[in-house]
Amino acid sequence: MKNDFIWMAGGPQGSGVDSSANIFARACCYGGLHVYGKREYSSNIKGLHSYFHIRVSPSEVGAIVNRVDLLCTFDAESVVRHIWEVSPGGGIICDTGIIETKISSILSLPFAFIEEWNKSLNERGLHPETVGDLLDEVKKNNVRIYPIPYLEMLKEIGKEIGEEQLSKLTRMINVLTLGASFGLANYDKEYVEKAINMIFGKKPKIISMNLLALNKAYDYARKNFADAGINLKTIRTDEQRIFLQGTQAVALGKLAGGCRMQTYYPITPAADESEYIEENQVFEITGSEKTGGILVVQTEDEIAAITMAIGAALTGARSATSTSGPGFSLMAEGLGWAGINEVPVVINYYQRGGPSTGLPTRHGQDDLRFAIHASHGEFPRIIVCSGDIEECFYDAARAFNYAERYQTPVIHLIDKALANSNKSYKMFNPTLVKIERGELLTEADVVGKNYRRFEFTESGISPRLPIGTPGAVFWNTGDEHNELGHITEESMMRTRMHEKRMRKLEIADREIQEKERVNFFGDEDAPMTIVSWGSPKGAILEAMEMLRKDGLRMNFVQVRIPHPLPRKYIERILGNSSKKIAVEGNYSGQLAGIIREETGILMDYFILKWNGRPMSADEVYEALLNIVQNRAQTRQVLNGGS
Amino acid sequence: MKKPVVGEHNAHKIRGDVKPPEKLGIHGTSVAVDQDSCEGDGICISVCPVNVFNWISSPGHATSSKKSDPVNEIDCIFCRACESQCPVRAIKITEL
Amino acid sequence: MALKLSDYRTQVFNDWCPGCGNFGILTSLQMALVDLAVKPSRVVIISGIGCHGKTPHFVNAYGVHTLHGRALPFAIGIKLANPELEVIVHGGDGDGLGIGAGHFVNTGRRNLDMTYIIHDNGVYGLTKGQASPTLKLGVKTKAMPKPNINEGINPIALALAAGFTFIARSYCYDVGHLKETIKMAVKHKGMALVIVQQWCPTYNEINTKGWYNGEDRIDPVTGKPIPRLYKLEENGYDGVVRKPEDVLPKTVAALTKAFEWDDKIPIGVFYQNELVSTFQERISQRITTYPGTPPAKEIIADNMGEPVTSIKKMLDELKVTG
Repeated sequence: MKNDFIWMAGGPQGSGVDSSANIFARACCYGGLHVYGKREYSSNIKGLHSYFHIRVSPSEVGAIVNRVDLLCTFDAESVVRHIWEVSPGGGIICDTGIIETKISSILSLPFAFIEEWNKSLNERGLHPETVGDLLDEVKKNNVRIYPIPYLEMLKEIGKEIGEEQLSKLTRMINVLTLGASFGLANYDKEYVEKAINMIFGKKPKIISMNLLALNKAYDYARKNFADAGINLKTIRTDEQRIFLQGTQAVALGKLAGGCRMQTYYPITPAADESEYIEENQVFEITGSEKTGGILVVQTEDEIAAITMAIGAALTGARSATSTSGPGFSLMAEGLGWAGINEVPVVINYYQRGGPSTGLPTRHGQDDLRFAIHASHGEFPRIIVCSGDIEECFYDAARAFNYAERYQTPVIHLIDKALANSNKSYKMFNPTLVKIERGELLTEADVVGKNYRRFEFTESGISPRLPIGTPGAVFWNTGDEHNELGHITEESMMRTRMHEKRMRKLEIADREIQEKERVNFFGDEDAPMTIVSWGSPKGAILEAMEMLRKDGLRMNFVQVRIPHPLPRKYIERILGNSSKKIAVEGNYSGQLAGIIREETGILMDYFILKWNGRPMSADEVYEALLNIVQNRAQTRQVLNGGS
Repeated sequence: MKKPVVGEHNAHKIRGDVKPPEKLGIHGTSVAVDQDSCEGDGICISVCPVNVFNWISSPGHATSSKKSDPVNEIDCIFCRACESQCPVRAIKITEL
Repeated sequence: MALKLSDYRTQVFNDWCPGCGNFGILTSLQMALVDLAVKPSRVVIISGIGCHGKTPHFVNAYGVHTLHGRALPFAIGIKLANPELEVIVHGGDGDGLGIGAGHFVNTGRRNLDMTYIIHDNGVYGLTKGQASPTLKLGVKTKAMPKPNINEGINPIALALAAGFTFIARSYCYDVGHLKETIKMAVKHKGMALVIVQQWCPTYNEINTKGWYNGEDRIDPVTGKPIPRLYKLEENGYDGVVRKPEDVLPKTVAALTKAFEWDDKIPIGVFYQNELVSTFQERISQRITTYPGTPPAKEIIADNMGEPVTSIKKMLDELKVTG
């Protein structure tokens, strides 16, 4: 674990935490390193604390660990918030100006934090008054402090560029800490400059200011802390890599998958996806001189978002909407309409901590059951859960195939940990994306025939015709209907039509290949089996690797389509396992409950987390070790992350 | 099947046995009033939203001396208010 | 071959109450379609929930009977994905101005090229006669336990504020007027609203045929009823904006007319402004291929199912090595 390096930037929202983290991550990527970044922010625009965790490693990493090797603090609060996370041997970059700051004067610390804080101080028998007292305390743990005179340095820069207004210069505190970080590591500055150029793109004046700040801080750190001993070596690579966040991967998948209509109502953390699509709404068409386009419509609410997407889907366009829990709650009725009318519509659902507004900017995995059951009545739907950012890409594309093949809504479940995490990947392969449109008719198929939209057929699927196709008409209604689509309440027709719809789930269950429904990791004959879904995948895989080094073997079933559940597969794998462990980011173990409901198999252990922070590899490792060593409760609740 | 047309007045066709004043036949096509059944109640005239009907006198007829006549048959919007309220079911509406 | 009224009819039994105002609206719509000579497969009739909701089932055209209050966003999705289609949306007064009021307002400001017909009878018919958002304060129709405690919405004023670019009112049983109004609405370049005053023979015994005809107020000279409805265009009113400077005065004039009620109820075109860009035109500025290949017409895969959307440019922008 020690050949990786964990960097963190913390500061008030609006102070450039994101951009500094992006520059840091990119600079590492340019140097051939692998990066995993996790963003934590508050539901606030300016002032509340936010931070960004960047894990850098020579090999690919898929999760965070609860440790910081170098903490960059923009303000006093960041020191207080994260000081105990810094590992022995690690360091803290801070402003010389905050050393004397009284901890009690940091007003933005919330009461709940202060209570916990005081408790932890009492436990440690500490009574620090100032930030400096606190820093002295961690020095005892072999943590090094790198004080930098932020203001003096900014004033110097101001003189050089002729900018006297300090408030304009303080925006560069983030780059000062960045420069200091790379100076401490003696990292190749060229890559950092390239990253600054990339992030500040079209603003030459800002670029030159920031480059100046970078160099000042870099040189200061080299001069004053030459022996920091931070190990961040570049690696030569010819591999094509990309660096992106989950919302971008989903957007790319949807575009490649042929999505042509995207509706959304602004909501965290889903809106990034729609905005990214809109930025790129005109694209090249392979093998054609023409360009193509996707419509992105910002609607008045999520009810309009889903119903508008359904309307577009009726015309044959691949269409989707993107939302989070509160938005999906509003979509429930529209979802049912798509169900009874057999409309292929895709919902990319970014989970966050609920219920209600819950934790609007924090991670959660508590909506699996809601996705499966949302809306009244029974109708088939398919739930696809991505486990990492790369899966987000391929799943987002494939979701449309399921939707069109089975003429039913598909819910692509993503979570905040995937949405707002960034990761370096080997270049995605768009040629792996295939388009299957199911039984889709054209004018030639229906002219002169009495087309029936909801015809009872042998395959169980009624061939679909886009609304507006010349030579036919049909009807849609949210009422139960006959084959033509007209309202009926007749008992025989109701029995048949409802059965026809419901049976599509069985058809999907029969047809969708196992490899698209589950991922299996580890040895089949290992005595313990982990079952999980979604973003814990990365932490689980790393924890398993750590256990393997301890000589402990496990296997892991990652469920990618929990509905319809790959029942036989799960029965086979879990049937051979002596210890079955559910790992989920919710309170009740929702997938475990579904497995129990559908197979009768009970999990032996639960590793659960709902504090709004993604699972880290080290905490999953600890919890699994507890189970191996027979000192675990049935339920272990994780609480890592600040 | 409609009976053959035997005559026309007030812009509508007349069908069936017609021997005035005892036999008046069926007046109108989409709004067909069987004037031999009509008892001159008048509910059709008051409920019709688009004024299709008007009174016509029918001295010497067995059931009543005035009848409803679909003089503005062309205006019918097929709401069937007349059909549903006629006490003797003398009106038949057909969308043509 | 010319299209006939029967080409727009279906075999579905019409179960509206005898005498329902919806019959007038349905017939006017079908007559308008005949006059406009638009083929059934190019027309989409969309409705919400309520008595009006069955309208699409009686029209031989693509029909989409949606959710309560949501007809407009469904329609917008259809129209945006395939702007070649003639999209006509029906809504009720509760459907469109109560539960669907948010969509009403936001549809106005988008100015899509579609038609929205509101069946306004002042009551929720299908749930047995509760007050709808257009029923006036203090009015008690027969199924209501107490008089209406809310003031009624003025849909015409609301439409002006929201940005509809064609705003008209008609009457369900003046079939000729309604037919012509629907035709104008369909031909209008932009978002058209037609409010149809309608009576509910079952639950609204206040705003009846007799009330609209003025049978409670007999002219002492002629001895005839003085009708409440009058036609704007026969009274020298012209709501059409022809140049930018017309917008404000014509809006004010329309708003003034919108508040006439009770004794004199205007029908006809209150406001029309074709100078405003349509949503489709705005999209075309961003996506130049939109008019020829809107979402419904775009090719997304070749014959082998290989996608044709190139995401290379985006991937290149995300590239960090190689």
